[in-house]
Amino acid sequence: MKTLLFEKPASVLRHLLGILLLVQGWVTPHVVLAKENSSVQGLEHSIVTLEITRQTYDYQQPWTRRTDQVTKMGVVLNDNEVLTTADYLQDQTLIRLQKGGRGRWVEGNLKWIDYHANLAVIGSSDAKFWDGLKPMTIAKQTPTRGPAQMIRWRNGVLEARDLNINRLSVKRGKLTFIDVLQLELDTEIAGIGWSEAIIRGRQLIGITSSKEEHTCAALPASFLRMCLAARQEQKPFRGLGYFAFVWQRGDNPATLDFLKLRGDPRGVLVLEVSKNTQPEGSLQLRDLILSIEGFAIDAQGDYEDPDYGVLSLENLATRHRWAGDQVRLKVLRAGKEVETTYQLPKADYRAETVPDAAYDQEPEYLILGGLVFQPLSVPYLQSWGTDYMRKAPFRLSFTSQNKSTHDRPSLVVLSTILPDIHNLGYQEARWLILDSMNGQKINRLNDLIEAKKSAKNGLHELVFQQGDSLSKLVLDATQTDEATQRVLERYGIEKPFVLAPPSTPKTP
Amino acid sequence: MSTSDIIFSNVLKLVVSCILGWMLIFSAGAASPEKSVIQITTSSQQPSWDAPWRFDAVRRSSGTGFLISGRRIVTNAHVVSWAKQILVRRYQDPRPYAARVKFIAHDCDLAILEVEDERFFQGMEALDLGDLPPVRSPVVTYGYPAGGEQISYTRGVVSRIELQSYSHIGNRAYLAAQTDAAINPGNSGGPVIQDDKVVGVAFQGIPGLENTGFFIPTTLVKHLLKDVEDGRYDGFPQVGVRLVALQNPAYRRALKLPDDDLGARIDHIFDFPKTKELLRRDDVLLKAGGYNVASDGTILYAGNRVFVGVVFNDFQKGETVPLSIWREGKTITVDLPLDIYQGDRSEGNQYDVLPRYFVFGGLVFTPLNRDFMRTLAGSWTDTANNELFYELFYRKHESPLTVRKEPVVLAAILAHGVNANLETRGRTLVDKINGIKIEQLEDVVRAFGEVGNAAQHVIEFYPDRNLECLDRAAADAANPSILKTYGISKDRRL
Repeated sequence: MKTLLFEKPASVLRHLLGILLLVQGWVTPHVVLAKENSSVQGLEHSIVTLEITRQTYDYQQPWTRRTDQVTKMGVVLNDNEVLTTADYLQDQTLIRLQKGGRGRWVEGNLKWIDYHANLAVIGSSDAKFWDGLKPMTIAKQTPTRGPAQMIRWRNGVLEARDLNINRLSVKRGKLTFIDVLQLELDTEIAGIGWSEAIIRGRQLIGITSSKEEHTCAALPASFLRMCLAARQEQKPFRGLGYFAFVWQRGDNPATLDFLKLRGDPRGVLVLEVSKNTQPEGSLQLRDLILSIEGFAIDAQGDYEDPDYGVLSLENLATRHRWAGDQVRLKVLRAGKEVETTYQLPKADYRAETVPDAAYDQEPEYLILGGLVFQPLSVPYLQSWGTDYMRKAPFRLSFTSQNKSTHDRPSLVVLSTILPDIHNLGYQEARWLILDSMNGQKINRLNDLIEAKKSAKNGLHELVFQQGDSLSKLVLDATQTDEATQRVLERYGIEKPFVLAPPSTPKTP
Repeated sequence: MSTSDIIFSNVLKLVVSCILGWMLIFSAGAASPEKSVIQITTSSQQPSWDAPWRFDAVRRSSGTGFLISGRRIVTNAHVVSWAKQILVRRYQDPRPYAARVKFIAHDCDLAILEVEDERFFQGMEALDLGDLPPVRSPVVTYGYPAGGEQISYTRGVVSRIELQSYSHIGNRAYLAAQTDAAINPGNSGGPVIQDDKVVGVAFQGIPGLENTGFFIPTTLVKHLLKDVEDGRYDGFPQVGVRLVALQNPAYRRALKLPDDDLGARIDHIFDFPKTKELLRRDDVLLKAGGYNVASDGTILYAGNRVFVGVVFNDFQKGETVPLSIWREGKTITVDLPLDIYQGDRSEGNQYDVLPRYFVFGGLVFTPLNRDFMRTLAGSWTDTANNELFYELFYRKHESPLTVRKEPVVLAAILAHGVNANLETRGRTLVDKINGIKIEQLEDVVRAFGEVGNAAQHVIEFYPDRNLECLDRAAADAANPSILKTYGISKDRRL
């Protein structure tokens, strides 16, 4: 009887599934929509849905992890590949693809990713998946204004919506600290910004990367073409370069007179050049940049782009240029025009004292007798929320803001203390930047492991950077390992440390 | 671990607020102490720190005071700060008498007023000052709080006694007593009475906390009275060390100190000449002014376990405090002369001194201080203000060698043709003008006055290194018209 009771519902379920599958075949969504909107007819074969499963971390407790899942769009390329934004592919553990807005998911694999460009290429070894899919043509030129359409799969239906190109601008990219070319679109479309295709005349003119209020940003076709071509030509991909200098607009005539510039106001004044990025005699403080790559720089810091009109000079770091390339500059220095070159440094989070990101790796930490040390990074600060510049401890967030003032490659923070008898008396010490341990300078967690070997008189001495809080603490070195083990057990932590490999490859 | 600075420079966590109320003034009834309780009405006017030549609207507020020996009226400093007129009224007497500030101690929020008119004192007896009341003992507050016109009495007990931030100055902490007797706006400056003696002066509360009021113990009132015996108020001396708990056995072993819960560690020494000469980092403070210092930095003071900093509040400027110090495995005695520290004045609220400024070419320069920071829109810690915040509160701790005597900020730009092309919008720290490093406001005046050959005045800012120039001839010529346009009678207050 029991068996029967279980079998009956199962058979009913099978029956229902059969009906549902029939219904699905009956209202094939892209067919219906294509009839309504002939301008996108056929493009349903060029858009796929991606499902990303990834790990997320709580930097307040870096030994914990959670799983997150998102769906986003991808555009079919040649060679059985899909182009999408790199966003949300960080720390991914599973990629699945779906065509037609519904039906079977197939497993995908990450073939190429560049976080600064915010681009990724996905493949799949499931040959059947590619049947019926057609590459979308990427426009050679990106329009700078006028109408466009967004297409995406939504609830099993290919959605095509009109939007309007506002302008092409050069702004900080979503995953990077450098400025890149972006298409700005006026739109009221809800939930846009997940790598949806932006098309005009059936050609791809951009893929969306974010939305803020009524403006959506998209990576423009010219940028997509450039990056995809470089991916093929450069082995390995050299990455985006950038101008690692700070400039001020040159539209104060009195300042230009002081700098002995003749003629109309033009050029921008260099306020700061990042250390160790340029050879001696290259760009200097108080240089007035007059042209880059032959393009005259105006007093607002813009140039006339032959393809897109007036754009910020920052675009010249990525306009057909890559990390390591030499860029020609003409500057006014001490009243004289000087020709010089600037070598584009590679956009690399790890090059920053306080890195903006640490993708595809577990958060680093090290526990020493209950003292928890972590690298000072923006992801750590973001554990106070998106408004971390206001909410995180002032001294730490200020350090991240004023990157140029650092004389160290990276910083280690005593982030918290897991109370134990070993660290009695220090429980409230936290958010302190470590200077040295046992007399050895500490720049990264690995340094702590080395310094731990140099205890003196059975004591570990930890000195923090000079500030308004505790400057030093001492631990019993003979008891530290035992205390660490006790803390791990008591607080349910698996490993005493997680360290990043010396050089983590960013691309597979 | 408990970490406390004796100079209490970090004021971010301040949550207390002054009780200064608005009320109408009448009085009636009679009893003995209340005859000596005085209602104070103050008309005050504060300057505007971002337009320092201007004043805000006149503000009328009310507080309380009480008579002590020598025909002196004790009240809170915040009751009479920025006063243009002070009127006092006796118990049940509708007539207002003019009063004036004899001494004002902004650090401990106390003031002494005097009244010239002899009639004011007729039949009024001075109240005696008592000692620090025990915790749990009953007290009665007298005052003229909001919500009525008559004198008000509220009864409660002393809930606790410990070091508290004094919100009037903003960056000092002294002994304070907490009571559950209602202390409301208008009570400020009123006496807290026990056994017919004044045991405290009501002064502040914590917004949102019920049955929590604070009064200033008479130890501080007595300190003030002794301080002003020479006709001048000096203030409370400080030691200039950061003292931290020393409870970890390993650290105690490192210092060869017995594990006996005695002694707190000197973690940092501030720029106090005598302190730097006589004390060292990692010295352990065992005893201060005769009090044993526990490993958490507290002492047993009149039955209360409080931070050792209260010991130094019992001393006057120039006096010497005996310290027992553990250094290199031995106990030594140090007689430390105490002085008044002015180095952190700009970090606290300032009163009764008009802000300094200099206007040139429409550029308004003023010293960076806490009052200026308060004029900034939004939160102090708004990211746009981070650099000012760091300069004011953090630089001296982290880079003491780079500290300027008086950092100067370009507070605002008064729009005019000569400055219309400046990219800088103000609220920026000034590094150099015409090549002269700006250490204080006077340097700005001197730098613009320099007669040079250059056709421009060159202004450099920090930390972003922005550079701005003014056409020298045009700026020099524009000053009178800018001052006239913006209604500024004088281009400077130095």
